[in-house]
Amino acid sequence: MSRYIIRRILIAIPVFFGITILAYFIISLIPGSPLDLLLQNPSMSIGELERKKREMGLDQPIIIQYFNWLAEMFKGNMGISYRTNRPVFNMIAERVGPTILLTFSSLIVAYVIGIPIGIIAAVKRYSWLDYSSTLLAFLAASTPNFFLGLVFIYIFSVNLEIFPIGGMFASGSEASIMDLLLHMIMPVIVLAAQQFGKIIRYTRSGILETYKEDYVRTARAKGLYERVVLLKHILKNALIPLVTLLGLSIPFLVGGAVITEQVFGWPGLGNLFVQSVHSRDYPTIMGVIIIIAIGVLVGNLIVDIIYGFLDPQISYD
Amino acid sequence: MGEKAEYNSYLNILLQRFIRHKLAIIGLIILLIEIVIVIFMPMLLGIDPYVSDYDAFYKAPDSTHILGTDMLGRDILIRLLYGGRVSLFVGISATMISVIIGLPLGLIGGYYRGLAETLIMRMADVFLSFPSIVIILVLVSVLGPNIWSVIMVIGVLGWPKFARIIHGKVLSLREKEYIIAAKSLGEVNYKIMLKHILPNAFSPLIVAITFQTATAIILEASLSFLGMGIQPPKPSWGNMLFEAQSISILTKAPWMWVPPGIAIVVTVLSINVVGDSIRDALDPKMDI
Repeated sequence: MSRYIIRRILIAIPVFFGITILAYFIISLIPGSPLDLLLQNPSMSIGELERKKREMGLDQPIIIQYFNWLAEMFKGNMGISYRTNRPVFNMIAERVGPTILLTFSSLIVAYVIGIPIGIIAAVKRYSWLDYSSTLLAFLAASTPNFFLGLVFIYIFSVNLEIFPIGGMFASGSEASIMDLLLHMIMPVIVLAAQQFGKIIRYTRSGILETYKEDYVRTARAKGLYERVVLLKHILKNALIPLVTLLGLSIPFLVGGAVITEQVFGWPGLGNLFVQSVHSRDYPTIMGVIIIIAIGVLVGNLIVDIIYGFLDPQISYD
Repeated sequence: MGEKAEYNSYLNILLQRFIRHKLAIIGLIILLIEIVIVIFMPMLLGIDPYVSDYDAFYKAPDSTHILGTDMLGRDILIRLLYGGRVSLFVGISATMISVIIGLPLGLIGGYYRGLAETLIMRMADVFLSFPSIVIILVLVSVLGPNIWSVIMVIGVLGWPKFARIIHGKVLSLREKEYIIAAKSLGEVNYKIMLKHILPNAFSPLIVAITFQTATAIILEASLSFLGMGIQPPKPSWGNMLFEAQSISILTKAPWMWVPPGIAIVVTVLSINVVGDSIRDALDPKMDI
């Protein structure tokens, strides 16, 4: 098992470099350099400019610049934000918590709602329940999360006044768990809606596939109750594809969070990212990309490990 | 299987399987009607989407403006139709770009194997494991947000899906007898790829194209919603929704943002349903 985990980590390393090189390359495409500001100074001599260039490492080939930047990054030095003049590291540190809270809660909600619906759809296949769950799955997958978010705000915040319109805590009052929950419900459901269409369909088809297996027939032949067959024999195997789905859905989850946070003014990384893109705050943009890359890879690693534990057929070499 | 069945061509069978999905037929009809409407209805209405009606600023729907007007007195219905042109155009062209890049890369990777394969497929892994909206946002902001940069960026970022599908298909075909036969007859590599391998990758390709078009439409709408896509005054469904970020429009003028939202949902839903049925119809495991 540990060999399998190490192997997975080794596979993740080039992917991490790939993402960061890609991001660094894109940012370096931007016209203009940090030296432009110095050039506007009339007393700046060519010699002085060259010295500055060397000081900032800009005379090095781009690949060396990339590694210098990466080395700084791992020391926790992500540069200073152009927009707020604060260290990027601190700005990101404040935002990681809310994003993790949002994405994890929505994953849990999506699976807790999606799996039972998928099971019902499979057990009562070709009934109206099955068809409506299929339609629901399609509808959830086809609704952009920002539109769903706006509709939720319009219905539940503006007209019914049940939930607050956005943010994480009500301003002015003391932060409480209750307050946080009230603020969380809508963004969590919106982000979950994007996920759970696929969960319904994977659960349904997973169970229907397993129905045909010999060991299920054997279990039935032993005279077990259908409920026992379903819960003990079918579910355990039918749900393995859901772990694969979890891995596949990580990028969509993060991408969805970027937009959902914007709609609800949720103070997370996605919100920070969109603000930074608007104000062309490149140090912050790079910082957020790095954190997302690490998050995505760690997420994938966890999924791989769960998969390794669940599926005895997987080979460890 | 009667006598008649013998005359059934493969396409006929596919068509029969597809028609069995009633939902997909409805989806397909909706899409066709929608395409006809966004192309021809603006000509019939003869209203300019950029011109203000000075008698009607910020008006709720009535008999002169069926869907109302926006803050600048522009007709929402005509902007919705023009926005539809933009959204569908972006969705289809971006997907074409993804195919044009992804298809040859997948073919080359699967056919020649070796270093090319490793490089291409590892790169596809990198792209697929990272949320594409993040990279798309940065790229569009670097290039400057407009319809062409949006198409380019969404198109280019969509290549790995197609590369992966084609790659997988080539791997499963390259050891087949008829390919080896073609090789031993001295057929040139690119002809084998085009004539013998590509046609067999047709069905997964068509399914992927359908789904990717839906994805591209949602991506464009998301970008425009974030203010980083199609820029006003040019209408797109996404940037019509962008205006709803203002709380007064969101609360007091639902006619301005609900129609484009519904238009996106109906379009994407129809495409997804159609794509799903094509996949079912092409699945050889399914019996008729």
